[in-house]
Order: sequence, then C-alpha cells, then structure tokens
Amino acid sequence: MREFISPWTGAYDVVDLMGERWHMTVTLPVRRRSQAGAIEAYFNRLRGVHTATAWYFSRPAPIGTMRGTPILSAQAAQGVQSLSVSGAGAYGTVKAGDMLGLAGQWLQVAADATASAGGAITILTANRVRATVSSSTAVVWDKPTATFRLASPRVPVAHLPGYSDSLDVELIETW
Amino acid sequence: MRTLTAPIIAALAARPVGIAQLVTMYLTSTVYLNTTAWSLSWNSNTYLGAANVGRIDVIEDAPGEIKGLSFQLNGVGSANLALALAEPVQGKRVVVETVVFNASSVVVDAMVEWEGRLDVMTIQEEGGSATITVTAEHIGIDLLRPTNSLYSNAEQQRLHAADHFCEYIIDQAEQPLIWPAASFWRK
Repeated sequence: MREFISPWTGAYDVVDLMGERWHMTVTLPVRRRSQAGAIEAYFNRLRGVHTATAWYFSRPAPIGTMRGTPILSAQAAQGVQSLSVSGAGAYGTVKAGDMLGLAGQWLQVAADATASAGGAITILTANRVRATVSSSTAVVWDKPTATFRLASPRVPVAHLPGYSDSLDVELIETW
Repeated sequence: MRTLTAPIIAALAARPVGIAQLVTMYLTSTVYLNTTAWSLSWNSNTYLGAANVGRIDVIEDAPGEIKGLSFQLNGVGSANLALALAEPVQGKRVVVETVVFNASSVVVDAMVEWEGRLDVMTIQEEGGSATITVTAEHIGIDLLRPTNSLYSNAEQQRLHAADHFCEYIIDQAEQPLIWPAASFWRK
C-alpha cells in the first residue's frame, strides 16, 4: 500500500501494490542454556534460505463449528476474497479471525458465516487468494500451515550468565 | 494523447487503485517479472512476482532529456549467478508496462510505460548471495545519436557507386565566382 494526501483537499488516496504476505514475530521466553541450544540451532539452520511451515498458533482450529472435510465448490480466481465452500457440515459456522488453509495459503475469515443445512457456505476472507485455485480443492481447517522464512538471516541469540535471554524472530511468508 | 478505455477509467476511479508493473526482458530466454508478490498472467505469459527481491528505478520524465533505468535483483544464489554471468544482456530489449487492477483484483489492461535496451550488468557479492544490477537506455536515445553521414564524395560513392555528383565538391567549396569575368568588359 502507498498513501498520498491531496495537497488541495487533504483527502487520502491509496494505491494497492498487490501481493500481500503474512509476517510473524515469534518471541521465545528466557530458557536455561541446556534448552536454548536446540532452538538456536533450529533457527540457525534456516539461515534465511531454508523454510519452515507453521500454523496459526493463537487459533489452530476455527472458533466456529465448521469441521469435516470442506472443499471448494467453485474455482477461486486469483485476487478474490470470497470462497464458495461445500461440505462444511449442516449449519457449520466460521467466525471472523478463523484461519483456513487453501493450497498452502493462509486465508483469514473476515466475517462470521453459517452454512446451509446441506453444508454450503460462502466465506469472506480478509486477504486475497494469491493464485487461482481449482474447484474441489480441500479447505483445511485443522492447523492449516503456511511456509515462512527468516526475514533477516541473523538470529539474535543472547547468552547471559546462567541462562539464555528471550529470542525474537521475525518470519515472512514465502512460496 | 493516450486514450483510456472505460474499464481502466472505472478501475482508476475506484479506491484503492491496484497497480503493478510488468518487466519483460527479451534475453536468450525471455524473462517475465512483476512487482507484486504474486505471479500474474498476462498475454498468456506468467510474470513471476519479484516483490521484496527486485527493484526498478523511478521512471522520470524530463523535457529534453531521455533517462535510463536500472533494474536490480537481490539475494541471487551463487548457482543462479552463473546463469546471469553467461547471459549476454547488452542490447537486449526490455519493456516495462503498468497494469491496472479492477476492484476484484483482476488485471484490466497493461500500458507500456518504458521501453529500451539493456546496457551494462554489474554484480555485487555480499555474504552468500549477490545483487545483480543492470542498466538500460531508453529506446528514444536513438533519436539523439548523430548520423555520421556527410555530403562527401566518399560517402556518396559508398551509398551509390555510380553517382559522381559530389566528385568535385571539394574543389567547388567556397570558391569565389566572378561572373561575368573582367575580360568580358574589355572586349
């Protein structure tokens, strides 16, 4: 996004540069040195080159009641923010903030929705589908994962006398 | 004046306006890149998303001046660097287009923003990766290039071997001609 303010009217004009990505900051607590080594080695192994998959830790499953094996009932074109889904269970629900997985992409539910008795549901998403996804593709609700890499190749580990300090790692979605 | 189609006018009037740039480099194997993070399809070609790893100079218009551009690709691994080194880029055509998206994030149209020829490629290595920068000259630079064709006999013979029109041009150049000659009045 780029914002511009009109010098005459003061109105905001916004240009969408497309192609949003998820960013994640992981904060690991203070640990004993004996425990910190494995974590340090894990992030060092990524080296900013390799990738790691992660699910949305604060909401591994939807707060809504949608379960089962939902699939896309229609193709989702690149850039859309609405998914037509079947197999969501009779009157299954999704709640705003639930995280769904579609062909390796995280899509966050933008608004509460309820399925029909036949399990059909239209889900509005906060972010856009980054590439066209064909009909019948599985919609993952159980710990959907996305792929991340280190935003910076540095892993700021601080070893202090007797313990290892907390560690902040910034991850950026990649595909 | 550039005429915009109705779908583009509608897309530009929408808020926010979605835009991206497509870069086509006609190398040995044509390279298609775009400035978003997604891959975009346009004219049956797939433009790979190069957001965060690629950079294009700001395209500036200045009266009486034809400005070049530079393209930069960061984080190139050493394996791909060999491909870049083996590629003869000089003189290869490059086109930058601006695409406009409608409210449904679908590409409406693409307009050529800049066209030119690639010039010099520089590679800067840092740590385990490299940055490739290639400069390009605008295609309009041809208009400023001197033609180097003179009205001389040698040039005329090169162009048209049987034409002797300029054969005595040096003898005739800047010769004072007095007509009629002084002898005419002494008759």
